[in-house]
Amino acid sequence: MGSDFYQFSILPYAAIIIKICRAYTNSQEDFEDYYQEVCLQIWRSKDSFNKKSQWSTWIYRLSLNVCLTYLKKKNNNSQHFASDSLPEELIDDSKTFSDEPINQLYAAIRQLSELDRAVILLYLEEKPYLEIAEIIGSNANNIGVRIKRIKQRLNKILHIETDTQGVTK
Amino acid sequence: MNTSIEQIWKEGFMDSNAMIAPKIIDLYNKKSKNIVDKMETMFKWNLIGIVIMAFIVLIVTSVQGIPFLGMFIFSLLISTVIYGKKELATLALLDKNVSSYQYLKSFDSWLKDLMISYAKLYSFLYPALFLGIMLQLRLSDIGLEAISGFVNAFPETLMILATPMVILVPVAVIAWLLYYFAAPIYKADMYTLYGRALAKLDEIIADMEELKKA
Repeated sequence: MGSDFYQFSILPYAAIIIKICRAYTNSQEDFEDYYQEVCLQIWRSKDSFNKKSQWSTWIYRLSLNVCLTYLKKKNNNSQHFASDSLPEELIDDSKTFSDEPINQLYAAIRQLSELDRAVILLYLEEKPYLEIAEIIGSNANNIGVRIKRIKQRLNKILHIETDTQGVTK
Repeated sequence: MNTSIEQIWKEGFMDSNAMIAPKIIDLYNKKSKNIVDKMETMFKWNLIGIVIMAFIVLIVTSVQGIPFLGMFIFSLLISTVIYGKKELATLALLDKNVSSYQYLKSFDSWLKDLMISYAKLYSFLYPALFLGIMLQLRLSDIGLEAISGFVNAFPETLMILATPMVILVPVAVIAWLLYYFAAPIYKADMYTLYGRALAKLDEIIADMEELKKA
């Protein structure tokens, strides 16, 4: 890979790749593998970028497609991210491992289905429903309902208290 | 917890340490772990293996004095390679620049079409190879001697194409078994290697379809 391409076309968007890869991996080693794979595929597919969408949107799309079709290693003895792999009911006790709420949120996101992870990541990145639907390949009308359900599930896992409308108290 | 997930998300990435990109080491030479690339590599090596085997068969049979059988097997194997190369080229048409649903669907249908066509191919290839070997054996000195010995011992035996029926029937049965089981064996092989990934793929597509129609 040309280092210029990485420096100027990937690195400024590394945050997107990092956020997505973390949602699909349980360990630092896996995360680094996924990150490298996404970078590799961006480089390989760069000529197919048709400029109809923004480069950042294309990176979201490609990163998700790569994470969804990545073959995970079978055996993994590497160190897990803080608070990962904890049973649902114990996640609130993960303070013994890490008190960073973002780690707990990631651990909760990783309990979702592959598709729900993609949907909630795009939502948290403040993508409009229409864009989420376009990236995923769904109807914008259904995205809102799905997001509401995913948020309810995450709130439950994280023990976040909400009112009947799902708004945090 | 009193904060919303949106707040946790925003605040979580304020810390610059959370956004440090891993070091990229020798990425260009790194092997891809993507299922699409893995399949491509597997099929490429498969084709290279068949070409090597075709030449070995050609050389060995020529040395053994049975070049016609060698040429027959060689042409069968090389046609498989040409067919495989054509199929593999269609993989390059898969576009990552589409929605996740379209991408997964196109990969899924490419894979299913490929499995069907390869299964068909092997169902004809295996029996053809077997029948070719049997025909050569029948026409060889050993085969001619064995059959004349058999006919002398059992003069009443039923003959078809100058070959005793009791030999033809098992040969036909084995050829049919090879035809019948080639496809399931090939599919089982694929599922042993990629079963987990294929199941994951089906699951995600089903979920996406549900979201589309919900």
